[in-house]
Amino acid sequence: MNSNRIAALLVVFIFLAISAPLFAHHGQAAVDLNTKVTLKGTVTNFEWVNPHAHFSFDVKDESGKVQNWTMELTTPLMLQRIGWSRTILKPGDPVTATFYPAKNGSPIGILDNAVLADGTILSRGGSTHVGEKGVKQ
Amino acid sequence: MRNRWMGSTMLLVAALAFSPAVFSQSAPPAQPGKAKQEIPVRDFSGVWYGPMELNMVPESVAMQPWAEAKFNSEKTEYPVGNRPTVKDISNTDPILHCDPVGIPRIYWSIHPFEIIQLSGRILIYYEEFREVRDVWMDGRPIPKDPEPTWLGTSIGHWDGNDLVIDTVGFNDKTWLDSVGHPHTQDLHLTERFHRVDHDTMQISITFDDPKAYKTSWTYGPRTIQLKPGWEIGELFCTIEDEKNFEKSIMNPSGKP
Repeated sequence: MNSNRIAALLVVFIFLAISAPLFAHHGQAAVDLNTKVTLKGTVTNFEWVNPHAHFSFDVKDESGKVQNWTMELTTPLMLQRIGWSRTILKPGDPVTATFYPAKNGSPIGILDNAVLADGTILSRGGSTHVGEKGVKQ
Repeated sequence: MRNRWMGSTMLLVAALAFSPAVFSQSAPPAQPGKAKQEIPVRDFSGVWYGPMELNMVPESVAMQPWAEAKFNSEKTEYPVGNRPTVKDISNTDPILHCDPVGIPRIYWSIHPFEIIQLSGRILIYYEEFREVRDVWMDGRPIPKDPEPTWLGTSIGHWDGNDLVIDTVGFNDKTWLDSVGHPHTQDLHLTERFHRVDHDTMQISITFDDPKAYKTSWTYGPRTIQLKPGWEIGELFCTIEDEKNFEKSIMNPSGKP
């Protein structure tokens, strides 16, 4: 990472640090924001609803056991402004989700980003594509 | 960083604040050599975006004893001081049962608002909960004994090119901010909208409520950005949506 990039990230960080802690109109799930988990699976449901949209996906572990996970997003209106749509996820779609997991072990999390089959990355912060060194912002 | 939940929305904020080009709805990028857009005079029309903070009361402002006791008894998921946070239905936040968010708390919303200027009146149309506010610009005086309402009675005037809005006549059911600071029906807010350049304004809010706070104070200025091409969408709060959200997300993740 070159110094310009570090400087740019610092600017973003400083902005965020002095800026509001920002949520939709009420709190998200009780998740651990110090931990990120990535799981690959198949979309089972996408709820394009207020106050927070969410989707679920089945994840199969090594023993073949399937667990259904639910990912919390923000409001549909804000998601539309950053590239989501109500039809962007459909049951059966493969998805790789990176998320902050619930503290109590429930199969629930706040999404950080979801990678679709075509490489599209959908995050709470925008829609973009994977570049040569990861996410191209 | 004062709030651990912030991380989940960092990217959203960063993208919205710094990357207008990622939105298909955004205005085309400025062309090199193109003249800088002039600042509209006494015209704040447009959709604006720039969320404020959860807590609008500085620590230096002392509450009256009853207000402090009420504040300490509130239960929210947002950390403040040593007050424990909650993640379940013991939460006392009035907006969880769809009470209006109210002024000025609504400025904390991650959703934009639109200013619509009419003859003798300005409408401020907040996307969050679809709250619409009348600001009377027809020269009427600030009412002496207004009927208490959720959004109060707002009287505006121009101070130079700044828009100054006095609001009185609130009921006492809303919270001043998202951490639960109370107020009385005597609350008098003064908002000042100052245009910095074509795409930027600053909002300062002065709070005066001597029955709840021992001093008045001014919050801000906070910088708010014009968002050309954005349109206000429909975002009602409904009890059914809230209950479904509790059932599907909040309670499963928040249970011990």
